[in-house]
Amino acid sequence: MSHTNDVNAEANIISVSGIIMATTIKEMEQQEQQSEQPELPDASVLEDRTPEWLKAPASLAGFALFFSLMLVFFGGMHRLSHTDIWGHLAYGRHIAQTGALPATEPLMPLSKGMPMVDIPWLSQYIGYQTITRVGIPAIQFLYALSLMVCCGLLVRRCYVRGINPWWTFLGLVALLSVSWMQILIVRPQVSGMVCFMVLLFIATRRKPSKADWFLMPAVFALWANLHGSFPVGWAFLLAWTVGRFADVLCRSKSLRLAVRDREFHRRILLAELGAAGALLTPHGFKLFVEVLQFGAHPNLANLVEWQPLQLWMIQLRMAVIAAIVLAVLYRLTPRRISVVEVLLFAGFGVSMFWTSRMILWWAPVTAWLIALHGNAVWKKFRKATNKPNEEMASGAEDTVAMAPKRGLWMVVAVGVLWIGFAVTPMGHLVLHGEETPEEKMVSRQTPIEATKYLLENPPKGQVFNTMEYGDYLLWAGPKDLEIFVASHAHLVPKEVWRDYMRITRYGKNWEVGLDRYSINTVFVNNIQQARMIETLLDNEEWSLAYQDKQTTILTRNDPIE
Amino acid sequence: MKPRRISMLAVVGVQVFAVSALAMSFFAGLPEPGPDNASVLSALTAPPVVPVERETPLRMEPLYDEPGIVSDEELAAVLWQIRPVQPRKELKPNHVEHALRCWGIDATFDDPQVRSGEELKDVLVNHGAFLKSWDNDTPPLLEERPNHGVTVRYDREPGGSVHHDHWLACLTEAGISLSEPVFLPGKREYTIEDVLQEALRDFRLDERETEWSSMAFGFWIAPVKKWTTADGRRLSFDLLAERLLRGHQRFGVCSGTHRVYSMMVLLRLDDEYGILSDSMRKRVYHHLENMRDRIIASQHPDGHWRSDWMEGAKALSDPVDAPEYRKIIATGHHLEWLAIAPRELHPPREQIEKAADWIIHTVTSDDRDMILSRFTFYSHVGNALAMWRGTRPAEFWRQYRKNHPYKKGETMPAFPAITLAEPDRKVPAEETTKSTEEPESEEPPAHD
Repeated sequence: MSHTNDVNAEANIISVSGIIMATTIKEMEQQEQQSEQPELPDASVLEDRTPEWLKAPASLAGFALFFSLMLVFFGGMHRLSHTDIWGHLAYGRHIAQTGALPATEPLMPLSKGMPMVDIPWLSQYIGYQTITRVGIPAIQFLYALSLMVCCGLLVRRCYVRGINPWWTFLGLVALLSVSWMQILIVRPQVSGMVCFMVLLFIATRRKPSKADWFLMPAVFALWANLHGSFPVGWAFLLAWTVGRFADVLCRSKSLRLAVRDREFHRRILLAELGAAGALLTPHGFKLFVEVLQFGAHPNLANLVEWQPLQLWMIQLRMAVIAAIVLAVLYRLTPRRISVVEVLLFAGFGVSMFWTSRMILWWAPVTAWLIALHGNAVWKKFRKATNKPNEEMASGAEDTVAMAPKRGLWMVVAVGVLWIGFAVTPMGHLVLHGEETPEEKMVSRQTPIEATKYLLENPPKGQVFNTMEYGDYLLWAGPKDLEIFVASHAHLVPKEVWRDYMRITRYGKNWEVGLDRYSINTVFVNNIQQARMIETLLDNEEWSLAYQDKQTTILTRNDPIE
Repeated sequence: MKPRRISMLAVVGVQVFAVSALAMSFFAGLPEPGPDNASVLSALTAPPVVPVERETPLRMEPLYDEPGIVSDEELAAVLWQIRPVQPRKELKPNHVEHALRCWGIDATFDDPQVRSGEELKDVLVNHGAFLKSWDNDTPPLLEERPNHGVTVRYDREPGGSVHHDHWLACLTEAGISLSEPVFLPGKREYTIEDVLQEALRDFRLDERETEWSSMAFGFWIAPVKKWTTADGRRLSFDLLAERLLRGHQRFGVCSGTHRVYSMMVLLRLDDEYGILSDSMRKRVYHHLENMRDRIIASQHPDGHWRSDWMEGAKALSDPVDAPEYRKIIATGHHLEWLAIAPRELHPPREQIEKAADWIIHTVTSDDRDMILSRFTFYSHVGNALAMWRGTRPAEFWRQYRKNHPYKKGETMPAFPAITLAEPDRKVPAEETTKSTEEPESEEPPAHD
């Protein structure tokens, strides 16, 4: 037995030694190979020498990808609409050429003498300078950048407040999807959105900042000159301030404490600064009269975007989905629901049923609340299922802010953004000096070729055009072209607007309207005004002057003098 | 983290900023003092008021005295036909306005059946006199407005003035004074100036009828060129002229002839007061030349024009089937504006003579009752022919009465018979299918 054992043991030794020998040979071969190549350090033990301020968490790279896609879409794929952007640029050109703000409507002949308080004059002026100095790509880029700033502020606030990146992402999705129909049109309104997001950013700070004392009036001063939506900011400040008072009162049941609350005092003063900041415009108090009256202008009742939200509108459906998500989160959230957020959510929500444009302000509030409460529900769920992670263990809300940061993620983030930029028309222009053709940057409905026809054959006298074409004609049409209306409907006299609606909707004796206004040229969209085109082509007084896939131009054979 | 106590310095600083911003906003928003607001304070606290320099309105003085166009006898006969023999009950303001415009406030008649200018004026400016003609159920003609304004009810309802600012324009042409009292149903005291200022405030450039407003404003406020309406629109006589130029000539009251008359008035006022810009004056003048050419081409062989006069030669080759009163409208109104137009804007003299002959013959041949039922059209004829004699109906009538005292039961003054040129060619039946009713015509069916 012992012999047998010895033999087995020897055999084992041999086999083991064989393995060892084989291993040794392999190692030797590897060492030989390694000796031929330079030795690489173990990356896992390398020290990240990136400066701390340049390091970023992995989530930043993810959001950079999101922003990059935004840049590609809004800065390139999404074309400039053929509507009001061109009217704003035309007003910007007028301001630049005259060096003054118009006191009366300067571009539409049928609106001569109509008082004009050009609220978004700064947006118009900046837009005009941008397009003349760089071109359409810069407008697209500026627009994409504005939307990225809006989203970036939400991401930053979520990050600092320790909100899980996935809930932050869901907030972003809510923001963009609910406001989608509003942000699709490139116009000065986006500047108002940026200002609103800055306001939301300030209001959702965990700790007061001294910068707010300067930031608040500056934001409102800028806002009041960029876009007429700044009263929305006032409403926000009111809810923010009153809500704080109500919160303290509800919690303490003490009026004395609520009145003496320092944060309440701070908000009163900040609200006062915000309100005063908006007074700093060249229009003075006329601005407020104009803004207060604007929404009630009778002409706007015919424009869909100024009508209340209706069931057929996609934006209402998106808003309902967001509201349901938030309602579920409210049911589950362990966080206290503050009066401020209820006032903002409900206040802006109700206002959407006054005019659908208010959805633009409801969306950021809802997006923030979804991220905030979603994150709280998620944490509660994790606790309940006894799966604490590091963040939970720390017990601090700011744990996401302490997520590991690496220089690598910053490099990835910058790289992804750079790639996004490079494929935009602006990127092409800056990096390669290549100009993208205009027709690839503007909507397909833009009457580029038809307008060129007018430039070559300037019409005499009054032109009838649909509102959607008016802005582009103001911008690109012949000098002193007598357009009928443009999208600044509130500047059109109500009788003219009534006649315009009658003609475009084929009211009783609509053709007579063309004679009444001495219309000698008709410039309309083929689909929208198919009946008008057909009727006039059957009329011996009219002839077809130009037609392409989008647009038809008809002229009167015997012009009315 | 508990917020820090807010220092008094911060509170004061915020208040200083807020007050400064308010002050800047206030001063930045102040309107510049203009003709319709003498000071910034009044501009802020009161509705716009346009300064009126005169107590009585400007008058369009006749340019010609042409017995070859209308003789004294012919004029007397025509004026006899259009004396304002108005009924006492349900006296239509539109008829009164026309009668006043033609005869003037200073018109007097020996015939007790005929209303004097003062009587006619009273019906329009005194609610008490209006009530004598209309029952209590009829809405008042004059209505009170905020800011001490008075507006005139214009609609097709009984007792209403038919056209916007027609009341004001007719009283203006009749020579009413600015301080003339206007009595409303209420007890407050008003004057014509209150009506005028309200008209200037509530005028809308794009309303259907601007002919009357343009004239009235021109006669009262020239040389002021610009003013602001209650809704803030800044208007000028340039814009008024541009509005009158807008659209096919068939639009407008009385087959578009009032627009031509109003443009001629603005042009004449511009001669003296420079209320139009040079470019607008050229446009208006060019337009009137165009109108002249059209009436030259569209006159029918016997001298009348029809409601399609603006079609030029086509009006002869493819004429509308016009009832006589429409011919009276077109021919009478054309003679009226030509009477105040410079000779360069006249058709050849023989055309004017033919038109005058036709209208004298027609008016003097027509039945008095028919004339009274369509008084508004016929009144223009009297005014036009008087102006061709360098006078006014009331003035001429006074002179006429000196030599021809009133006798009860008198008949129309005699005058040598007029031989008209070849009468209008017979319009074949198939041609008469062309309607005289233009779509959306502003012309009231009976102009009353």
